[in-house]
Amino acid sequence: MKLAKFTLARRVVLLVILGLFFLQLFRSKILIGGLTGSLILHWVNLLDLFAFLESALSSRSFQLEAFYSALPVLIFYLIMGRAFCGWVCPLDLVFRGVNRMKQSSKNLPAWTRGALLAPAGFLIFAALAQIPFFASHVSPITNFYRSISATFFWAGGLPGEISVLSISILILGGFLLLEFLWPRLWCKNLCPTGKTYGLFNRLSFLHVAITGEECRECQECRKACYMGVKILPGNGRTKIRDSSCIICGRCVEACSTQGKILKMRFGR
Amino acid sequence: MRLAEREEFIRPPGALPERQFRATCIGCNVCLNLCHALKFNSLALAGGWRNFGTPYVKDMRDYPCTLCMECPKFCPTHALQPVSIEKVRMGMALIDLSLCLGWNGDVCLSCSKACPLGASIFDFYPGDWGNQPMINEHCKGCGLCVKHCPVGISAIRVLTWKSYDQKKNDYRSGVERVLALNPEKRYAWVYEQNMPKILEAGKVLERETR
Repeated sequence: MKLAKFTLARRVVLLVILGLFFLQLFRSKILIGGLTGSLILHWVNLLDLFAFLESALSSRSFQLEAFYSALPVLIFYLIMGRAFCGWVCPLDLVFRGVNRMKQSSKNLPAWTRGALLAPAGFLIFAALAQIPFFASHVSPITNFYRSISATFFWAGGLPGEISVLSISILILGGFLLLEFLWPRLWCKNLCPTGKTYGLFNRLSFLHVAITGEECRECQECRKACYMGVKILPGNGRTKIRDSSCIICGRCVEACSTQGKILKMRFGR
Repeated sequence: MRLAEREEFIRPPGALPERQFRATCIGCNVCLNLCHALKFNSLALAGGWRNFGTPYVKDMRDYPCTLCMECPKFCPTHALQPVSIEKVRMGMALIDLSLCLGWNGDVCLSCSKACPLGASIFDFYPGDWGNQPMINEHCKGCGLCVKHCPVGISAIRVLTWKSYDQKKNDYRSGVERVLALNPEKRYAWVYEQNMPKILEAGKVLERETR
């Protein structure tokens, strides 16, 4: 069996970041917060782009400092495209675990396919309710980190509310159930965080490139891609610029030409 | 599990006005975890649907805010804004005169010694019954005095500014009344009314955590 080097690298990156976030429970100041908003080395703030948009809309004000927190993220994913989903988001690993329990290729509900349905809906709701509802209440990423912290605080007898802990875990459980019923429905069609980064796929330096080699049309790449990206036939395309592509490299690994046709490439 | 909405929270220092704060805070937990990493553990996450996941200082008896001013410096959305300690307005501490040792014939002053801003916050009413402490409206609401009060359930409580405004007049008139008592009545007030209460409060070991 060929060594799945991208999958291995992805898991290492994901687990290192997750581990650094875990260390904050033991008073490490390397990474503090969660992937929605964080503090690196007690020095620089990072802020998720959709959370920034939502917070700005719901508070109806543009905070320059909040923009400064979002700016490093903006620049990084302008270079890396939607790599956040494939390489950093802990839900990718969690959902993969759920996917393994049940192999299913059920069709996703058609009404969810609108590209802007969920992001626009959440932004409008945030502006009307004046709460950044997705980022603070719904987001599986926020709830993931919140339930870790809240569980730790609860176990240590530190101040906290048991209702916050249980509701966070319930919401997370809801996402696992959704994943069980419709694999990757959330990631493909709904997740506003991922869709925001997906916009950068058109410009990103990091991408999957298609070379001019003869394709055997074995369809292995299509089977390996769980984001439903149309990879081949190429139609003369040389790059995959689909906004669903999370640049995970599974298609590159699966390709029966051993990486002659599909290549991970960094550069314009 | 409590799902009913509360309006009143003691927010971390430098927080925007309540509505604006709620609209800006994304519940990223940076303040919460930073407070934990700095070994203060003052912040908790609020429940209820409008305040879900927003930080507040829950348990001042054990984990008061120490006004280290680190969380407002590093709030990613700037829902907490960096301000100087003098401009912090988290809440307002009120001393319960019927429980306070300083108002009942003892010299205690633990609260004024615990206060990070000391003399600018405390007024004293020296009299036959000792150096009676009183907290003025420069109070930041950090709650360090609550923690260091030696009375079992703490004679001090921190209120939000909103509920302080409602109780202000009653409280002021209560203070005036105690100061105006003649010696016999004051003796009766201390020994018959308050002492049993203070002794009873001394037996309370239960803290506010969770």
